[in-house]
Amino acid sequence: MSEEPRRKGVVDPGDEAALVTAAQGGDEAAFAEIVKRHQRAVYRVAYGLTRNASDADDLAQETFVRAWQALGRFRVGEPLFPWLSRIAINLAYSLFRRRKRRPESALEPMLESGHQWEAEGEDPVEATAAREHREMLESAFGELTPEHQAILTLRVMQDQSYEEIAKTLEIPIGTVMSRLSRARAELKRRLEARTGGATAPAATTTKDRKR
Amino acid sequence: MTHLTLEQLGALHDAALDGAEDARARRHVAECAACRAALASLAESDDALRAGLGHDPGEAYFASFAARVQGRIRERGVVVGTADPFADALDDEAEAPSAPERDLELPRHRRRLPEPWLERAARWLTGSRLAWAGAAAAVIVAAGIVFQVSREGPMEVMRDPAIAARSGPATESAPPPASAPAPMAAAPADESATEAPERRIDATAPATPQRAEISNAAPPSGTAAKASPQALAGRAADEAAPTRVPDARAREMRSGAGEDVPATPDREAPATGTATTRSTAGETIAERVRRAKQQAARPLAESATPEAARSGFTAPPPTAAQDARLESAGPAICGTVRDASGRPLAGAQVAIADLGVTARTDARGRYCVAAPAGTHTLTVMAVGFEAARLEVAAGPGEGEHDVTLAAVSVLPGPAGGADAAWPVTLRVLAGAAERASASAARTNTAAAFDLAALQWNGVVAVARSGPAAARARRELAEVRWLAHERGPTPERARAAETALRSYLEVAPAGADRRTAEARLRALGAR
Repeated sequence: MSEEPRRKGVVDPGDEAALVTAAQGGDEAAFAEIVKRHQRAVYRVAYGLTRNASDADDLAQETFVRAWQALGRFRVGEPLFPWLSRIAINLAYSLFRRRKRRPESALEPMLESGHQWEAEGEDPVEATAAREHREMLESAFGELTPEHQAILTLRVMQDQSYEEIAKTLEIPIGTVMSRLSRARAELKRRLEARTGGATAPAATTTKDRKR
Repeated sequence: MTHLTLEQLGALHDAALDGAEDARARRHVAECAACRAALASLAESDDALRAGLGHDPGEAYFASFAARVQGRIRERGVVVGTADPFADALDDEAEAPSAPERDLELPRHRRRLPEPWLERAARWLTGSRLAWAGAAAAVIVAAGIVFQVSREGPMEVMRDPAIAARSGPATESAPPPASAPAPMAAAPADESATEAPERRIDATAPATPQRAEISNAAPPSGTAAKASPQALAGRAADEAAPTRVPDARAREMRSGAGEDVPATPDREAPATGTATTRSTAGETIAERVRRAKQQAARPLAESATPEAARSGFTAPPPTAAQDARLESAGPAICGTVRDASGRPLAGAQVAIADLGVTARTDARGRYCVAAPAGTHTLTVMAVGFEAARLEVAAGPGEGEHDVTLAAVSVLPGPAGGADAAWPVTLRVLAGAAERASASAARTNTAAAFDLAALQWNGVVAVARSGPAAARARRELAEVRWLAHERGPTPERARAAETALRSYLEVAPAGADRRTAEARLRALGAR
């Protein structure tokens, strides 16, 4: 499976600038190429914020639609991914405010998208423990503030540097450091309250299998 | 050893520290097991998060993703432009009419039913509007409480004939104060004559000022205006909270050695830390606290003897007669706390950190704390006012210690205790350190004193030399010692030893120096 680079730095900035310029002129093919280059990273951010495949799909698509609508504002030469991340995060905030709901269990999106979750070759007890831990982790993560969820998603899920996060969220680097510290501490506290002190599953993770 | 903060650990884990700081942090982690464990835990949490929240929808999903995006763009007729991508197009007002339509796009089991009014109301109550309304209400209530507390004064006291009668003899016999040093500039002589009716007590006194202004600028060796011991007789009721005299320490103070002998101060139950030190009497801290609590439950009359006062606690609140008994029972530190206008401050907290005792002023701003003979550091705090700290003496012949608190200024002014000649940076740092010390005196925990020590460390680093450095070193030694006292650990003991030695390099002869030397001996450094 080809994997899109996790870090934006791998995308050739000169090439990207040319694509953006063309897309700003209405070139749909150039924009489609931009989407392909950033779709996995944007999806990771969207899933990190929603923990739900359906919402992540909706959010990721909406992010690019908004980007197309606003591409004329974007300054060519700047990295595109922080801008896309900000759009995704703002959309997620709007979604949270509108729905005021908690993320669904990990099983539901698997079923919705047609994936089946199997514990092939794994001990059923360990597999159950790992699944339960994942659910508790999602639940604890879902209780964080949107700001904490966003910064953890960008740093942990997306592996963005502090400078990139600062640019994406338009906050000082010092704030990135302190907010990240508080987010990690809060997540750990909430997870330990659920697990009785364990912050990682004792068993190995199960494998997802496509049906 | 100063551990890495959570922020530093996170930045180290994220490779976000610059070269020198990164090297320092790695050296520390190599030497510190606790920080190594914390770093490992942080990495483990991140790994768990990455594994737990990661999701791969599969290649087929991404193969058709761009096409789905373009399909959505065409369906809506969206054109490339300069719209604001961060406009909240999903806000409640804009989306409510089309919410049912949007729901139709969702799978059947996730469509929402029409929202009844009860749910709409519940949604409003859980929204941010309620949080803003609650915050505004809390601010208004807090402002009202501060205003009310600051307005409590002699007028209310005067309406109570019993209290007014008790206060009468004391005021009429109030003598002129002892001369005060220049930094404690006394109120002008004509001030008492022009005082408002609320200060009738002072108006009957001689024109010479009754009290000295003790602001935050008071140097550690400053004194307060004192009334003669005769003024203590017939004093009105003091509604101070329980005061106590640590047993073993009281005995040590009266050992006749004539110098302050540091002893492990008593601690209120629940005792903090391990409290493993023992008094010179051989009993554990827990036993002393238990005995002290038993004695505190006894009426004052039972303990109103010199022996009782030395051996345990005195029960509050003393009436005028009890004041006299308290005075006869042993030395005490008493006085009145006022604001800059001369109005008594009720509910101000008075603390003597080295004894571990606190009290609150009564409705007339009065306090009275039993204390062994000797010099003590008195800290006075009240909401809306800058904390004051001063050295006071307790013992036969010592008079009252009145304190005037300065209101907190909105704009950052000269730091508490800082000389106006100090650089602005130093004054700001010292002010923050003063506030940290006051906060630590209130919470009286090792961690709070550790935080105050960090602040004073910063002042020491900036001050480098001169009176500012001497004072900062003294304050640092004080909080380091108190941190070790509240939560003894080898690290705190080493930090206290270092701070005490640093202070002794510059300390002039006097009570403070003797105290520091005694504490150093107690740490076993010599």
